[in-house]
Amino acid sequence: MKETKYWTFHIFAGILLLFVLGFHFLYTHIGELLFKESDNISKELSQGRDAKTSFLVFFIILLGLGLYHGLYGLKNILFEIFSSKAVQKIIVIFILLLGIGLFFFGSYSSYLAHKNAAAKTEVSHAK
Amino acid sequence: MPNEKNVKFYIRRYDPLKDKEPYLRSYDVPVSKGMVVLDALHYIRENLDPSLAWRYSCRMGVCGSCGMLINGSPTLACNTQIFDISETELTIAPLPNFRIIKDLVPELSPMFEKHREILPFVVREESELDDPEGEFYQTPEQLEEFLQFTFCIKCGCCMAACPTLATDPNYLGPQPLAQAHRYNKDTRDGGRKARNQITGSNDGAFKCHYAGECSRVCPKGVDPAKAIQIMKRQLVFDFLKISKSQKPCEKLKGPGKGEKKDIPPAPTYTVQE
Repeated sequence: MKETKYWTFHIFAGILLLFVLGFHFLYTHIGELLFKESDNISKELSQGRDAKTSFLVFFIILLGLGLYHGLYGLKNILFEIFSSKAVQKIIVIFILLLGIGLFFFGSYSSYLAHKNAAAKTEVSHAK
Repeated sequence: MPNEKNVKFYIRRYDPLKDKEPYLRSYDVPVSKGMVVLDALHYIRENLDPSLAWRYSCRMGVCGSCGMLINGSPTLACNTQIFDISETELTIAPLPNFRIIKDLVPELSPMFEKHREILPFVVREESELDDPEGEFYQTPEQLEEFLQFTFCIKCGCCMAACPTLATDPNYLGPQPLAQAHRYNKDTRDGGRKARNQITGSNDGAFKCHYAGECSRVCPKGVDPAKAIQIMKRQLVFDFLKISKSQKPCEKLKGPGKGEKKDIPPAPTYTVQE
């Protein structure tokens, strides 16, 4: 039944990714083409987004969902290639560590970007 | 359609005691209309090569013993008309995804062991054993939910066609999973929770890629792929606790003792005496 739990989370993560990733693409990449707005991927606008806490939370959620969905899929593929239970245990530990590591690295990077962008925005406002 | 024609049979031979690996051997068999592959195998053993080994029993698609790979497709030898497939040549091999015992005889024990794991029987309260009287009431609609899955003859054709099982021998496979679904859907059964522990495990239903080959090759028209997809949904619903609780039906304890059902009145006579 444990696998059912992981599978359910995998499905939910996939559904949520559709919306979260959809929003990301729409806002950052496609919005420009659709709404004929200014250059959304320009450095200034990117920094402006990074400075907002809501976007920091959004990026961390996107990262978490993407990592869980992708790494669970990778685990399943590797489990089909390696049927030995001992190897499967190693795969689970490796993927778990990789996922946690990448999540913290990505979250920390986003936080730093947010911090820097917020500081720059404050400086520009002060000027 | 010719009355009789020589068909070349390429049969994969393998004796683990003598051969290092399987090899193909050809036999010319005079085939007449109506002959099935099993008849040709009998002809070969009686007239050309008495050492050829295969498994069969009922000769009428009921026992599921003669499953083999005929021209690349797992099917029953007793159910396959030769001229329906070819009038010139035919290749026969044992069912893939199983160890070969000899020639066309696969070792089906792993399938039966997995089948046993999923509790392939109606699970009821132990206390009912003390009171064996009564009968279970099931509507035709409830029966329809699982009827097609009861047609499984455990021939192993679905297991041989499964691409997931080909790469991952730990996977339960379409036959045991379809049978688990068959009992889960039975209104008399109360074993779904116990079965979920096995079908919802790492080697259970979630490994199915939905290639659908199992359903395509089944000689009895069972649809294991459908069963597995419904099972996946059921497992998720059970985990989220949003599925309809499926309590096993009550027993009816004979006339006047059990639940009374409305019996429609008999139709009026159409013939006057």
